[in-house]
Amino acid sequence: MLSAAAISPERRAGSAADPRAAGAALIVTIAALLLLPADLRLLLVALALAGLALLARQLRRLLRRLRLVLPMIAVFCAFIALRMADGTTLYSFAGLELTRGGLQAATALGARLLLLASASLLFVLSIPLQQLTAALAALRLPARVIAVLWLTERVLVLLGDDLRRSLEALRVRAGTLSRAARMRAAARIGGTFLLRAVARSERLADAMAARGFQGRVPVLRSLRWRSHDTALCAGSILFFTALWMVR
Amino acid sequence: MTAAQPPSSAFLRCTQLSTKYANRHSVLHDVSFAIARGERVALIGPNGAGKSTLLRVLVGVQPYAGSVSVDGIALTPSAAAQVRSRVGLVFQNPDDQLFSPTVGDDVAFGPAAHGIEGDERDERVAEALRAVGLDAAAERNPAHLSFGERRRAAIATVLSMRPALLALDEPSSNLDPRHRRGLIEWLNSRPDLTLLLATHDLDMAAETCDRAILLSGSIAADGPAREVLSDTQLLARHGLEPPLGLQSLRFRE
Repeated sequence: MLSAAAISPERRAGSAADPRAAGAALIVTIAALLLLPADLRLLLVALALAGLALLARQLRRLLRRLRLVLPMIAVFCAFIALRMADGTTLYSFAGLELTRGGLQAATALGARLLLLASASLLFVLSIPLQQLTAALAALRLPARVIAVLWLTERVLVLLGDDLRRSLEALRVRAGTLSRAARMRAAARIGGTFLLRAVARSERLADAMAARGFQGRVPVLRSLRWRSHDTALCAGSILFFTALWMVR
Repeated sequence: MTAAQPPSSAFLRCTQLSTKYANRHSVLHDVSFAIARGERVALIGPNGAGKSTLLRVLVGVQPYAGSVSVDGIALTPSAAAQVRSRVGLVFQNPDDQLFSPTVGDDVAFGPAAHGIEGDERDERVAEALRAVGLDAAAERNPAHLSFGERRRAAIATVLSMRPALLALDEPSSNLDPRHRRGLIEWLNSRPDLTLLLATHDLDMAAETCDRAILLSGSIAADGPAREVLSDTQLLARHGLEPPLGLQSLRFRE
C-alpha cells in the first residue's frame, strides 16, 4: 500500500521517500488485488486507496484521470457479463443473455480493474517523473525504456496541443460542411497529425542531441533508501498478508 | 559586397559547406565563412535560405559536405560531443527544446549530459536561470510557462552549458515587443558572448550584431552589419524588406 509519506506532492529531493519503496508497495497492491476474493475486502482496499489519495491531495486528479479508464473497464465488464452464461437469466436480447453469475463476475472484475487503475494512477500522480526515472535507472531498467517514459509526458502534452489546434482550425472553417464532410476532414487531420508527430519527435531528438544526449537520460536526483521506506514496504506487505490470511 | 576574409584566429570556420534536405533538395551550397571569438554575427535571409539548417549543421544534427571546425576541432561524428559543448543552439520553437518535466531539470540536462554533476551543475542551473530572469521557475512545468518565458527557458538550457558560441534561431519570432526588447537588452548586456543570430528581424540584427551574413542558398553578402542592412537594393533582391525606419536603426557600436 502506498503510504502518505511516500506520496506527498510537496516532496523535494533530499527529503523525499525513495520511489522504489512506493513501487514495491504498488506491486504488493496489485498482487493482493489479483489474489483477494471479491467481497468486502476489496471495499477496504478501495477505502484505503481513497484515503491515501485524499492525504496526498490527489483525489480530484485521480477521479479526473479515472474517467479516461472507465469506458474501457465498462466495455470489458459488459463483454464478460454477456459471455458468461451461469445461473438465472436476468435479461435476454438478440441472442445475448445476461445471467446472475455473469453479472457477479463482471462486477467483481470491474471492481478489481478499477482498484488496479486507481492504485497505478495514484502512484503515477504522486511520484514526480524525474524521481520515477531515477528509481527506474537505479533498478537497472534499459536506458531506452527510461528515455521513452521520461519523454512521454512532455510529448503527449505537445501532441495534445497540436491536435487541439488542428481541430479548432477545422471547427472555425467547417461552418457549412455536412456532418459526413466534417468526419472526412477530421480523418484527414488524423493523418496530418501523425506526420506532425513524427516531425516533432525528430526536432526533439535534434534538440536533445545538440545538448549532448547520447541515449541515456541523465539522473538528476540521487535517491536514498530511508528507514520510513523500509517501514512502508514492511507495512504494505503485512497489510495484505493479513487480508490474505483472514479471507 | 564580397565575403569577408576569414580571420586567422577563427573560432568557427566553415569551408565549402553544402547540405541538402531529406528530400535531396539542395539548401546550402559552397558556403565558407569564419567567425572570431567574441564576434557577433547576424545570419539573415529569406525563408528557405538555409539559416536554420546552417545552425543545425554547427551542432552536428544535419549531415553536410565540406568542413566545419569549432575552436580548432573538426566537426565529425566522433567529435560531435566536444563541439556541442562549445556551441549552444537555441531552436526556433522553444517547445522543441524543452522536454523535461520541470524547467530546472531541462536546464540541468545539458551539463548532466556532459558529465557535470553535483554542486557545479546546481550552480550552473541557478546562474543560467538567473541570467534569463527565471530563477523562481525552476520547479515549474515548461508547459505552464508563457511563450516568452519558454523562450527564455530555452536560452537558459543552453547557457547552463556555458557555450563559447551562442547560436539563436529566430529568437524574436512570436515574442511580444516587451519581451523582444528584453531579449535585445539581455544580449547586449553580454558582450563576452560570441553570437550567431539567424533572424528575419533586421532591426534586432542591427542592434545586437556587428557583422551580417546574407544567406540565400550561398553567401550573398558578408560584411559590417551597418553596410549590409543599409543596402536596400541588396536586401530587396533577396526577398528581404528593408527596415522601415532605416535612418533611425540603432546599430550596435
